[in-house]
Amino acid sequence: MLTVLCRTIILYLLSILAIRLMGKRQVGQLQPYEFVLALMIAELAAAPMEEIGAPLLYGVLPILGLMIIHGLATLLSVHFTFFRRLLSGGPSVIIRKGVIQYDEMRRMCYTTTDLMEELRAQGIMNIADVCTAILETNGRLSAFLHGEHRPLAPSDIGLSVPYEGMPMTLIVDGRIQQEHLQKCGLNEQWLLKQLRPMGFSGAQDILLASLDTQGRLFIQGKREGDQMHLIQVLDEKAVHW
Amino acid sequence: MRLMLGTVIVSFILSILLVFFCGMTSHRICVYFQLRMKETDALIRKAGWQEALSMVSQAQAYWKAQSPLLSMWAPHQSIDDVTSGLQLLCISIEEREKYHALLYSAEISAALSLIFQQDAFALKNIL
Repeated sequence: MLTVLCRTIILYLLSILAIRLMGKRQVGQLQPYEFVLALMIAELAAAPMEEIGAPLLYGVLPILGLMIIHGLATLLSVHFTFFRRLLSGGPSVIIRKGVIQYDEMRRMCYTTTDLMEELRAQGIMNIADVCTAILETNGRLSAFLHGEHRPLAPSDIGLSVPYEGMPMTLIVDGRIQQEHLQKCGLNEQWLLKQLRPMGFSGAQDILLASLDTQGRLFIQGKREGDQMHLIQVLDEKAVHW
Repeated sequence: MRLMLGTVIVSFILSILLVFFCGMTSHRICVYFQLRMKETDALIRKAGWQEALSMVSQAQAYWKAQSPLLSMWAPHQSIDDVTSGLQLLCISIEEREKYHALLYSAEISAALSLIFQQDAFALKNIL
């Protein structure tokens, strides 16, 4: 049984390495050749795990081979458009100027049910509101509404909005995130000073604390009945991340 | 992009090295055993039991040392066949049973050639 455990660990680590080297897109949005690769790697890694009689290299070498093929395919796709189109295909316009392109849909084997389903998934109930819809190479539908149905943006009414960057998490589950504190140009003493007036003795009492780019500190305690706190602790101009 | 290129190059080199290493090791073991089995066969036919036993014992020790490495790329069942074949050959030589000794020797040769044929880079294996 120890043999099975050792083989499982080796092949699992190798699969993680292979998937990680393929980049983040591999997990979510898959191109056809990436999808095939993910399926094959899973199968190749699983087979030698359960079959003790099969040599370990029967699992390792094919994974290495797939990594070579995938790497070459990716490099060629980046450098040659023809190769990219060959491997991944191109995007297809399914709705153009509000008109469903039936021929294109038939060519892509895409049904009206699929179209309606994808639109609903994007929060669009009425197909009449859609101006353009493009079926991407990874199978996802990108839909764009007619101008009059598009949500109002601040720029539509000439409103300027302040910079909204990514909030920095300063405490996660009682642990101070020193790296984020440093990025904000703050320190632990400063953070604890902000917590005391709210009745928290230290970071261990905090479930989550984050600082947004408007200089507001969001704090949620761990204790039952703890309220959410949102306080202005920094001037907006002091925010530099 | 450089990471991807690096991955491709490293994977390629690693695969080639592995393939060559496996091929060379397989060939080395195969040549060694073919020679040993041929010599053992000749000794059995001449009723040179002591020399044959000593030769098979040496082959057994060599196989014991090499089989864990071979298990990395050869089917484990075939390796077990050779291991048990060598043991049976040893017993039949000790008991001076010419017919069985020659039979087991032939079986070992067949099991070994099966391992190396399966591993060989041949169209038959690819297809």
